[in-house]
Formats: sequence, structure tokens, C-alpha cells
Amino acid sequence: MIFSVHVLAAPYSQQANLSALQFCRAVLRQGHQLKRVFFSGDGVLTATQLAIPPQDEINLYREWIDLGTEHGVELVVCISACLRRGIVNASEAERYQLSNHNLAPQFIVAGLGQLVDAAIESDRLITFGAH
Amino acid sequence: MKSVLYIHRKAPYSSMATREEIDAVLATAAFGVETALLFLDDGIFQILGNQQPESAQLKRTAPMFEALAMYDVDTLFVCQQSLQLRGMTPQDLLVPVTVLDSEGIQRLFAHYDHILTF
Repeated sequence: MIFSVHVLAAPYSQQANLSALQFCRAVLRQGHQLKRVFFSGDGVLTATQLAIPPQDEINLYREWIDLGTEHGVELVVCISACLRRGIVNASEAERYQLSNHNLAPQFIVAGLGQLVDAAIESDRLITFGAH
Repeated sequence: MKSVLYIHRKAPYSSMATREEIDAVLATAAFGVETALLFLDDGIFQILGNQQPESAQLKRTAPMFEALAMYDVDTLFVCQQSLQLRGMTPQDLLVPVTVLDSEGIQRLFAHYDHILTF
């Protein structure tokens, strides 16, 4: 089966972000395809390069990046949610004349069309973090 | 072609959920995907008429719902119990809706390929 996952929760602020990560791993362990993880709303905070979680806890930022790189899973963040919450890449920082940029390079910035595409191409689209 | 049901459960203005969900609804409809909306619990307040949020420095979301018809999204449902618990009727709402009881909502869930909530 083809799965896609929609993440609305920020890391740590809501458990749903960790639950989504664990669900993604379970999907892959069971031999299903994980087409895309689409982060929107507060979920885009997963893509910051500047967070430093406590050493004795799971590093959710690193775990999501590892999921993407080790399993070839597409990690997409919604551009409008990113701009609103201050998650920007170098070209947006330049366009808006911001002092810095913070988007982790393993994440792709895109529009809602990628969420719609995930709905069209997946058998199951599971949302984590609606509250 | 897949179909998507968007559930709106949150009060407007209390979070970005209303705005971000309606953007997703419009994007989905623009792709030609069969799109419907279900308003449940406090989500009903999103389509309550006579909102005047500008006085609280908030952006009006009513025009976004009124624009749905332009995107050929005219399948809007409201939970009967949610309306009753809040002392509201369909006449209080901005847009035409079909009121569903819990059996109707179960049938709705069975019909759509994907159900999304923000």
C-alpha cells in the first residue's frame, strides 16, 4: 500500500510529531511505500536547523532527517506555513531581505499542491496533530 | 480520481486552522478532486454569519468560504448535534449546508477516499 503522512504538530510541543515519526517507521517496517511526508501548520517547525533539544532526549529534528535520507522519503514543508512561522531557506531570506536562513536542506519547500498530489497518489493519507 | 472530505472542527481565529484548511480545500478543488467539507463541533463557528473580526485586528475568513462556490465546491455538511448543542440553525450560517445526523456522517466517511482535518 502507498501511504503519505500529513504532520501538523511541532516537535515536542505536541506528541503527535513523535507519533507521526513512529508511524512512518512502522509503515516502512511493514514493507509499505511511504510516498511523502507533508508538514504544514506548526509541523513546519520540524525543518529548522537551529534547534538544540536536550541531550538526554530523542532528537526529533535529526530523526526526521534520518528517515528522509536513510529511506528516501520525501520531506515537504508548506511554503505559506513556513513563511508565517519563520522557516526560510537562503533564497527566501534574500528575497525578503532577512538576516539569516534556517531551513534544513533535507526538506523541500513547496505549496499545497504537493499535499493534494499525495492524496491523489496514495492509498492512505494519515494526519497527525490536528487538535 | 480520488475524493477528499475536509473536517473543520476548530473555532475560527483561535488558531490558523481555519485559514490553512480552507487553503487546502481550494487547492484540492483546483486540481479537480471531488472535495467536500464537514463542519463539526466548534468548526461550525467558522461559517457563522455576521462575523466582525476586524475590530479585534483579525482577518475575516468569511470571504474564503463564500468563494467556495467559484471553485465548484458546493458539498458542505454540518453535524446536526453540533448545531443543536450551540443553539444554532442553518439560517445562522454564511453558506448553504446539508445537515447530517450521526448516521449520515458515518455514510459520509465511508464515501470519501481521504478524510483530512487541520
